[in-house]
Amino acid sequence: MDGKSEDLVLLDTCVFLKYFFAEEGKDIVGVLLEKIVSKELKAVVSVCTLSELVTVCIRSKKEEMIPTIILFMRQNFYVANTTPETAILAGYFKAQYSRNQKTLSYVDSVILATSFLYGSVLLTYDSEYDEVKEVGIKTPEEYLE
Amino acid sequence: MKKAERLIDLKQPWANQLTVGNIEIRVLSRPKIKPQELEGALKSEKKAVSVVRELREEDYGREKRRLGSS
Repeated sequence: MDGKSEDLVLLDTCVFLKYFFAEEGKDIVGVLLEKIVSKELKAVVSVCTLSELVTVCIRSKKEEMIPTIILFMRQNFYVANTTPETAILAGYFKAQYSRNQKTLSYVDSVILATSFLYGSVLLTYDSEYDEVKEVGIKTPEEYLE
Repeated sequence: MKKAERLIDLKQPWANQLTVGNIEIRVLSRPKIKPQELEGALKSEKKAVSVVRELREEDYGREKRRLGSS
């Protein structure tokens, strides 16, 4: 198993937003969220995602949704802090994967490091992680198939 | 404390509702949020991935300027 569990997933911010924006493909995310809510699947979310969701709520003039979204996260996800270990590992990942015109932002790096430290599969729609080898990266569709 | 224990006869200490004299005590827990309540809760003209990418690139651009790298 290489210390990694297929039953533990970390959801990137874009996965939540696809569902919150009711975009095409939201149904798959809905299935995923149902599995998490029913405890069939354990899930982690980075504190960075909470920050981003709050920003998106405010920018889309939906501030009133913030308490509900945060409560949903706290009820159903393990909210992972950015610890010194996470920060150090994030620095490594940023240096490793920000070369040759490719970039990894600090939030990308922290989310990647959090997923690595929890031994989880990182679920995302973002192609920024395409070159990452240390963490299993999948879309929700790939994960659920 | 002893007086309070005498007044409150907890015949069902696990119950989430009890009455002490004329006072009704209810244990309220915050409602469980269902995923369906959040479907389509936010609006955006851009795709989810683009919104996140732009959000993170805002910081990346600032960081590049601060570190003076290209």
